[in-house]
Amino acid sequence: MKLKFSIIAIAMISLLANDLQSQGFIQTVVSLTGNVFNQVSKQPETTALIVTKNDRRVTATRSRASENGYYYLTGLKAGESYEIKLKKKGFMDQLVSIQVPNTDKYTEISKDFLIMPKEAGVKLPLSVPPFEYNKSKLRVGSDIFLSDLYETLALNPSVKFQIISFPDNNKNKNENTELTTERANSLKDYFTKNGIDVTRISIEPNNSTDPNNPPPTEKAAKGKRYIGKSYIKIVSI
Amino acid sequence: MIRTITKYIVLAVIVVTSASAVEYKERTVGSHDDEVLGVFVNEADSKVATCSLDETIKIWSIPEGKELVTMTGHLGQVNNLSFSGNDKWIASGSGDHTVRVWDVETGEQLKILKGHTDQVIGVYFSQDDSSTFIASTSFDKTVKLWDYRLGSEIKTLRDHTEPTNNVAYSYDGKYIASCSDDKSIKIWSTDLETKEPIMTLLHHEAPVLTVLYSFDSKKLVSSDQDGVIKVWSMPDGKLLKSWKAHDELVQDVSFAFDNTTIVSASLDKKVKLWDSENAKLLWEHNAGVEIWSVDLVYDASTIILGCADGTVRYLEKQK
Repeated sequence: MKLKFSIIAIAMISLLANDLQSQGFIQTVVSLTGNVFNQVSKQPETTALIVTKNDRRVTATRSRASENGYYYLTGLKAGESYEIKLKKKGFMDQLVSIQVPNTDKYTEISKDFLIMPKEAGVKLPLSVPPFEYNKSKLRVGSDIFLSDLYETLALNPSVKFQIISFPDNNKNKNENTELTTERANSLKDYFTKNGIDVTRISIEPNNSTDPNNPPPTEKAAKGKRYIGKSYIKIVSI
Repeated sequence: MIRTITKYIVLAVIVVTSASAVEYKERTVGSHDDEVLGVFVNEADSKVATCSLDETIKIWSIPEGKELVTMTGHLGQVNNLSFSGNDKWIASGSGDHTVRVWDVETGEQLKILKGHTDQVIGVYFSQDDSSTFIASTSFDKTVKLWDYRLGSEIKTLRDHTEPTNNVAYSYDGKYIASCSDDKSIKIWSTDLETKEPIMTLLHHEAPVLTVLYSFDSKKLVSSDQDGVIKVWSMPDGKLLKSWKAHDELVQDVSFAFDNTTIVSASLDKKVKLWDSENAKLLWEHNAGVEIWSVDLVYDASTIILGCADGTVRYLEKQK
């Protein structure tokens, strides 16, 4: 008899839980997985990932370089947003916002991270050129790529850095110097407008193309539009 | 049944016309400001979308060739694009590391999917009516699966050892195929749990540049940097045919609705129609310009070329 009641009770609780979940009273628990790589070397890194919500720690884990930088975070809830702090000695502190989709469709979502070395002399390439060909004004929409960078620079206030800018061709050295000065200053203005202390920033224009990333010389498969790269070089930490 | 009958009618039309010296007339319908990298015809065969080094996407009407809308927003060259199965949206992949989704009618940018850590090279919408999922490939060597409606990255697939070049959804929605500079093709399950490849196809001897499923999902065609085309039976992954199709790399291939006729285009400036059953050349045309991308309507009566001089050209079958 006891067993019968237990089975009925479990069945009722299960039905109630399903009902509550479908009505949104119980949120789906979601895991976040992905890999952490060094932004410069693209090699996997062992890194601490600390998840917070409203400045309160929710969960934490560690990526494993030996497992290609793989990490697994669980205990996140559907529809909630979190901040993930990436911490590793010798690297910049980084903070990334994550919005977990508001659905019970997924119990796992995916996100890779790039972490930036914090070492004098290291050059961090801007992942997407924020300029058009031969132009120095920041492109409309480039904020979606630059915002991560200024947030990282803001989180690491002791870091002084140099903005290095390269031109798109080698046609005219004087014009290239002028162009890359203006490009570096556009980025400097962007950072200072977003709260980075101007005394932390210096610039380095260039009159010829990037020797470490030269323009393509022969026709290859897709991926050959060339715009000179910009870098953030760490001067002191 | 109707689909099968239609298939055989289309096949018969293509075979009969190819036997009787097919003639196509070339017409330039418009142009981008730079090289055209991707071409995709919608399910209804009423529109074709093109994308370019000029960072834009354009939609053109079929058969008129009227430019309908231009989509701007990417901050880098647009490497590839795909209509959704319901023809309402376009997904595009770009040098700016993002996948973006656009409304076909208004040209409005609906979503920016950020997650790849290098250029996005291939993109393919799921071809079911709900068109919820998008698969993408990138120089970051991964294949990612996105839920477009939620704007969420739901699965990252890792096994390629070099940049991944292109990706295709099977029309039955069960599989994704990806190809890479590592000379392999990998077949992945679209279920949410499986992250290991179901199969790796290894016969290419050069970087594999594109893959595409036939409409019945029973064949996969691939092309490589040496100008070789291979046709595989699916889902068993058996190599059916392989032939040297062009003198230069073949960046794009496409199936006609008969699931047998293939169109290929190359940097050797030629576009060719093939019978994939026996690798027989049905027709060829020298466009006089390098061709990055090609697609065709269901019965191959119109072939659309995306060219290195920025032009979008229609090859229209003469009656």
